Amino acid sequence: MALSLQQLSSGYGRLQVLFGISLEVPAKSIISLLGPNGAGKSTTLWTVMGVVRPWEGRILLEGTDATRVPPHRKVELGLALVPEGRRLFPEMTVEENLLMGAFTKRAREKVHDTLEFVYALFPRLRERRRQRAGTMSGGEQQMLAIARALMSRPKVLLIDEPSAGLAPKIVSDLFQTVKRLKEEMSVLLVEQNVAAALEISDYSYVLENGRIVLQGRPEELAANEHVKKAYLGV
Amino acid sequence: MDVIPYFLSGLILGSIYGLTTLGLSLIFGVLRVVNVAHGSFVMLGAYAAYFAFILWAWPPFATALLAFAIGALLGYLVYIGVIKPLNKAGELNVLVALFALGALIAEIARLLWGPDFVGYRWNIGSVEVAGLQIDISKLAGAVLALAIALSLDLLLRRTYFGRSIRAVVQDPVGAMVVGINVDRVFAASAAIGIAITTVGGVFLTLFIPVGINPYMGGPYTLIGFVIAVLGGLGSLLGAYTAGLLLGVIESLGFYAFSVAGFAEPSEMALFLEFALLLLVLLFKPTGLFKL
Ligand SMILES: Nc1ncnc2c1ncn2[C@@H]1O[C@H](COP(=O)(O)OP(=O)(O)OP(=O)(O)O)[C@@H](O)[C@H]1O
Ligand SMILES: [Mg+2]
Repeated sequence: MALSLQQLSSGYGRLQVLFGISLEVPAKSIISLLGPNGAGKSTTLWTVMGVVRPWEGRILLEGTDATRVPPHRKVELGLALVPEGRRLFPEMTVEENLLMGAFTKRAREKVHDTLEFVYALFPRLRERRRQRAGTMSGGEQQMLAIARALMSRPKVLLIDEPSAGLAPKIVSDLFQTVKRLKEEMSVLLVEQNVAAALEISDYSYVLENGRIVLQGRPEELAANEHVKKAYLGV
Repeated sequence: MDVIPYFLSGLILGSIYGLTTLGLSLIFGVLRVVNVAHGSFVMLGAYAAYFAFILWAWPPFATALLAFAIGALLGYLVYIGVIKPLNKAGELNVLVALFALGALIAEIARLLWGPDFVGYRWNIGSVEVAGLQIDISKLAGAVLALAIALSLDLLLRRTYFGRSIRAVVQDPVGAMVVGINVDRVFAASAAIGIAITTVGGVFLTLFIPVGINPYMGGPYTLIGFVIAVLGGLGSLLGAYTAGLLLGVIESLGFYAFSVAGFAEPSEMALFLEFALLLLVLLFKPTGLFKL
């Protein structure tokens, strides 16, 4: 298993947000985590990354316990996050942002190859390499956020709502790109665009009020009455 | 007529102002904390220069190295002991604690070294520039200050370590998720910031032959704050350039008001500085030089 969460709980201050979440991300797969606003999807990713401190439970990275490992060490171990809000470095150029993505020792050694790889994946970024990140369009910034995470050569990529605020055409292109990543790594994808996410997922979890309430293969979930009503609008 | 010498000496003094403010600006940019204890570290640097000179006959530029080391150690301790534990409790707590620390350092200095003004003169000759006799020591201080500012800027732009600092300035969470140890960047920035502030205090003694005193720091906190805001908080070269500007304004203002002769010129120069600050805050709140 590339990543597994076992009974993970966390929150902010005294506010508990996650109540014992368990999920598994096998090697070279796309797993999606779906759910409404405020369910705790982003909190799950922040906790896995170590930006938010886990309260209880365990996080295993390739079978090794990484529950208390701080974020910068997690990146070194092969975990990368495309965070909610993108968190780019706005005053740096596109290329400087990408180079920052390869900050860890492991990634630095292969930085030129990786740069070629992400430019091939997102040709638009190559065209814009000298532009300041803060001046790019929303779609371009989302590409850059994904590309920056890829620069660390992750084994497990966590992506938080890549479709947020983007036009449908851009979303479907972006999802096709995410699908191609599966050849190289595992992806844990957080999405509110349930239909689009189910299309590229191998397996999905539904999170509501900080608990996993449903899980299954995409076709099972698409056929589920609750999912149909609450998320697919049919 | 006599304006040029005033302009020149303003630039020279401004270069030192710029240097002393780099640390303040760096600490604010990275840690989002206004170091209100700033002036006390300037004072420590000044005493270091004084004692090293009268006890061991060290030239101030040699003392600067020692002051950097002392300042770096103190800065690290300030981060570990004050900023880090209090940061979670809120910015105001850090501010109050730093204010208290600044006062404490000044009181300790008074206990150790007494309340009197002291000073020294390091005379290594003078050169004539545009009809003005300028002490070589001051000129060298100004040039060295510029060199330090430029090297620090280069460090921030060209090295991985420097880039990690810039990344934390621009988005700390973004920095965390690309694998930067943000806590280490915080500690290093506090150490470097206070080290440079202390070095600034050493350089400053070239300009105040009898002005070293435990409470001398206050005005420098104030001036440092003006400069850092003018330059755009967190922008190092901005801070340096604003320091130059302020030195020139102070010097020319002093000249103008001495000629006019209706007010206490140094007080009026201070008035000019704050008037400029107000204008900048009104019309360009991100600072004059923010990129
Ligand atoms: N930094 C924070 N401090 C305090 N509470 C927070 C913080 N971030 C999130 N929360 C709370 O935690 C809960 C879960 O938020 P989270 O961002 O994980 O939801 P989400 O599923 O990602 O929602 P969305 O789809 O809107 O992004 C919410 O009630 C939110 O208000
Ligand atoms: Mg979210």
